[in-house]
Amino acid sequence: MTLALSSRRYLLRHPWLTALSILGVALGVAVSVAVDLANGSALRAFELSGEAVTGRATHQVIGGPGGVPGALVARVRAEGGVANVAPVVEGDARVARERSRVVGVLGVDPFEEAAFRPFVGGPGSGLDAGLFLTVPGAALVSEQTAAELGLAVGDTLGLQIDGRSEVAHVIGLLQPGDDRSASALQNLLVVDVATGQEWFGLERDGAGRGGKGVGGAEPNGAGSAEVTSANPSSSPIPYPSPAPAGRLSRIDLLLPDSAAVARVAALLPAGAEVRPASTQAETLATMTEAFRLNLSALSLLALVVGLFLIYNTVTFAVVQRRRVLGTYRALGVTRGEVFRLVLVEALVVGAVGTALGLALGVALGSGLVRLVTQTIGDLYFVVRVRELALSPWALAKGAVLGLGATLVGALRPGWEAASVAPASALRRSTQEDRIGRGAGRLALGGAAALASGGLVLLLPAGVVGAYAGMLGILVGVALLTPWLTRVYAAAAQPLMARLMGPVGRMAARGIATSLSRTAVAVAALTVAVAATIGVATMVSSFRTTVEDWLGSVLQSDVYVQPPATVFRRGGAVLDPALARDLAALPGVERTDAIRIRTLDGLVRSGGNSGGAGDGSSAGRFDLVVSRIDATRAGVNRYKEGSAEAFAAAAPGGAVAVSEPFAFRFGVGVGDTLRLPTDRGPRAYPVAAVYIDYGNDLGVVLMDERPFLAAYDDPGYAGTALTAAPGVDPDDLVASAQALAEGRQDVTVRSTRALRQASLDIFDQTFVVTSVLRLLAVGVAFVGVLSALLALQLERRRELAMLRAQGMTPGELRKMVLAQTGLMGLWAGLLSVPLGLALAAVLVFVVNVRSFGWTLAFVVSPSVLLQAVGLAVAAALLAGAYPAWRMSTTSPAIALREE
Amino acid sequence: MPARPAPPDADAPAADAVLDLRDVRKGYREGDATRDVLRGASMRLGRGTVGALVGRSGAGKSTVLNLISGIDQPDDGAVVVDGQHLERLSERERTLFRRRHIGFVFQFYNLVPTLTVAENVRFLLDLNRAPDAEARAASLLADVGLADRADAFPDRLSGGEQQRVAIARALAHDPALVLADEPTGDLDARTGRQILDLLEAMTRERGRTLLMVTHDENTLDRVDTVFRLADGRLEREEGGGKRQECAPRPVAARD
Repeated sequence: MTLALSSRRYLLRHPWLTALSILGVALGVAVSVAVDLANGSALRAFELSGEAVTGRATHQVIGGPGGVPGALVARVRAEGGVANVAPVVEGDARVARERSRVVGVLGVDPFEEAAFRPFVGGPGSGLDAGLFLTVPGAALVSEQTAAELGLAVGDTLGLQIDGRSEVAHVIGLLQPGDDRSASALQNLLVVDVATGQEWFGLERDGAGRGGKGVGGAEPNGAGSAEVTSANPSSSPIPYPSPAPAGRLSRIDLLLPDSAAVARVAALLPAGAEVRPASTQAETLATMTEAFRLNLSALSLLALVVGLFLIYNTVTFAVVQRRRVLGTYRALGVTRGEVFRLVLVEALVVGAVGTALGLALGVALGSGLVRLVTQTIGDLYFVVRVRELALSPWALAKGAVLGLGATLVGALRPGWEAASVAPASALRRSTQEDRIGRGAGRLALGGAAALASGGLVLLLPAGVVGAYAGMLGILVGVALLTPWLTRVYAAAAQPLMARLMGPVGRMAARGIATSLSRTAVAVAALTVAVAATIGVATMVSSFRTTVEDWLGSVLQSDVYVQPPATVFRRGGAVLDPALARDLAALPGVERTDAIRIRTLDGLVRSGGNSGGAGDGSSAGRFDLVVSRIDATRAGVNRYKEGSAEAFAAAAPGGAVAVSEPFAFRFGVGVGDTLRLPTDRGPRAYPVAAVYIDYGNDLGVVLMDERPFLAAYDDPGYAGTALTAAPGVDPDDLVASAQALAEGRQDVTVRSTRALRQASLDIFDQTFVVTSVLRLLAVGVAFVGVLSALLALQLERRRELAMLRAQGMTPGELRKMVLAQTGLMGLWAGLLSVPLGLALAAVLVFVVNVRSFGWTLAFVVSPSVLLQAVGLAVAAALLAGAYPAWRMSTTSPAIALREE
Repeated sequence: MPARPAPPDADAPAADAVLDLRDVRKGYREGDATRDVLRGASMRLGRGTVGALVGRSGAGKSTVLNLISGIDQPDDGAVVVDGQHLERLSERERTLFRRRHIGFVFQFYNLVPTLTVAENVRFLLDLNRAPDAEARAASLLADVGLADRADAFPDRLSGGEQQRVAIARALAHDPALVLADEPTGDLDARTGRQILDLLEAMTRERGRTLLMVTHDENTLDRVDTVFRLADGRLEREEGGGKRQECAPRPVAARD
């Protein structure tokens, strides 16, 4: 059809504008798809990581905090009448020669594996059980992992587990039958259950150093009872192994019905329970929900900016062709046909942009998934699977977003095009008059959007409500922009006239007379720059708060701890003799040693806060144990209760909970926690809520006396030494290092070094955020470039007229640059209050609702200056090409081209 | 060719009147006040005749053209084109009527810059889904002397050439009525005369009715009827041109 032909030629005749708008859509879609894919891949990685280790198990027996007694395997099999019972030990190890690489270790009984994990013990797996059970440190790895680590059968692999060195012997390669299994087996070492117990210190009943399990098979203190040989090669393994001695991370089961579940449950000792196997991946997904939501919000922001871009492009195409559209209408093209024409044109641009965006998103996503899993790995748990999972859902969502945004962006311009007066009735100025009058109405709408955004923020509507409120504020400011811009342009005129003469006055006036285009460009730039201010201010507020908090919490002088495989998971235990000797070092005035146990499950009972009365909730959190006295209690700052009250009540069993814990479980001072212990559930009153930014899952702080009465001693996770007056902390660091030398691989750090290490981890957490922020800036920059380029190119004829009337090329350049510079400055200025408002929402609403953290609000002047500078620079750069082009083009040609 | 409208109803104009304005009133709001542009204007133009609409700037000539083409609606009165009461049609119906029965020639040509000369001429034929669009466009371009420029884009043509393309476009779909809004206003005197010659010849040859808005008194010599717009009313005068066929007795504007 002729109309379509005309549209196609229009798009092809303006290749730069078309390319910029395609790029705008593409970037918006790409960022959103990349984040979706990265999030989805992370989730899938949890599933796969879980799947490999869970196998086909329907249920799992998980222990109390110390893990499951190995003897339980035989009882479940014999007394529970369950045929398929598999003992499992699980943990993480660092590859010695590649310290950044963490591998999972799965200790299994090869004879039980066929039913659970056929790739280990099934027919055709090629497993040599003899070798597996007799070679010390015998391990199986997947072909892919072996290739990545440069391993062949017969090679050895040095590992670091909780500061100790272990050696794995590769005796065979796992050959998974399909891609899914191959993914699940990435970075996984499969060893015999006894080897796993030895490596993770679970070889004694009630003793352990740090295996992990759903139930938190955390370090166990010295226990008594059966001792198996530390060397599996010398240990006679009977077949079928009736029951492994020691403790296990868990027992996998294939249970046919609920009756079987009940039979198994009846056999379990206090603290152990039987759970469906699917719980694990769900727990992991829930833990990282807030983190992933934040990423999604950032990607949406990029899309909002992309939306502006599309709107701007389509509006420009309409405005520039008003005359042609008027001719169409005069000749007999109906409003519906014009509307469809504009929409189809936009959709063509949108479709190309979306296709490009999907491809770009996949490429970007594979980079992002590494960052996301890295961050999750640093903060929460080891994610072994790090490949991009191409989810059709994420791609479809990206396509719908891209095309949908294009359609939404094109609706108003399309309507405007359809209502263009037919050519003979057309007056060029009437269009601007209408928009000029509309600015007031838009501003009213903007004020309403701002108010409703604010109201939504006040509602207790969770994180989603917070983002909805934020969107209201963004839309509000965008709608206010035309009116504000008109006021600004009027105010700037006399100033510009004084600074630059008539050229300056014309530059300022041009902003008001082309309000329909300038306001959109200013709004797009404002939103984009504000987003960067908001995120940067949130991060700097967070960082300053954490820095400040570290300053007050790190009261000791020297910190000694075994290297942990994962930041948030202790697990590694300090050699008790070394801990004793450290405390006895000359110059040590005070020692604060801590124990850490990860607990899963909590029952809150009774209480006067939280509103809901009695209730129960479960989830994973850390129990941090120390000797609580006035000094130790005084290190923390308290949100509820006081150091004195806590110090006084702690020896009697009262606990303090961290702010995220109180938020997550809805508890406060006066409530009583019922915690799982090695002696069954026990009650602990909450005496205080303290500030803690070190752990977003929550911490319960307990005195060591009540702890040791209810739990097996897991050993010290670390110790902090306070130097006596006159002792140089650096000397103490040196003597502590000398003391540990040759006994245990430990990290000895001064306060300063530990603070730096903590901040490094903090910064790493926000790498993903920074990357996304940069992407949003990229989208914004392209948007502004295209908006201003379009605006200036549209004014070709007007500028040519000025040239024809005697304006020099230099004056023309000055005028164009002055105008775009003024617009950039205005967008920069507008973005400051908007950005600070966004930051306030992020700090005071989103963070509180996601993690329960109270943060200080810290505004960095350099962030604001950078933002304004960015806006002006983007605007000037966008003006440079049209300025150069118009000043070098013959006015005769420009006039003729119209 | 598209179907002609249904036969005129009871109050239809004389059978050969293509254009019939009856006591048309039209005003525009300007702030709180209403400015009456037309205060009972009437005109009638027979098939195959050429009329001129003259008047001072701001008298309302464009308003009259907008009403006749259905772009705008009268506040009161009837606008009957080729037997169809436009004031009774919806906006969409009026647009479709315009597409099928009215041809337009503008002062500034208004060719679509992204379409070639031939594509501009066949624009309405394509919209109307006429089967022989290509051949008709080629024939019309030959008639206006631009057969060799069929594939050129409008910005490569002179003003006079562009207006010839516009004339070909206005006649391509064989409209009952051609409206020309100062068709020579943007051209030099000589080219303007050539364009008028062409426009007049082509409409008369095809038995079409032409109404043109003009400021040029010389033009009035060649038209059959002159309508002078003043104070919101139309006065009819005899034009100097030869009548090609018998016209109905012109009706003077009512006073």
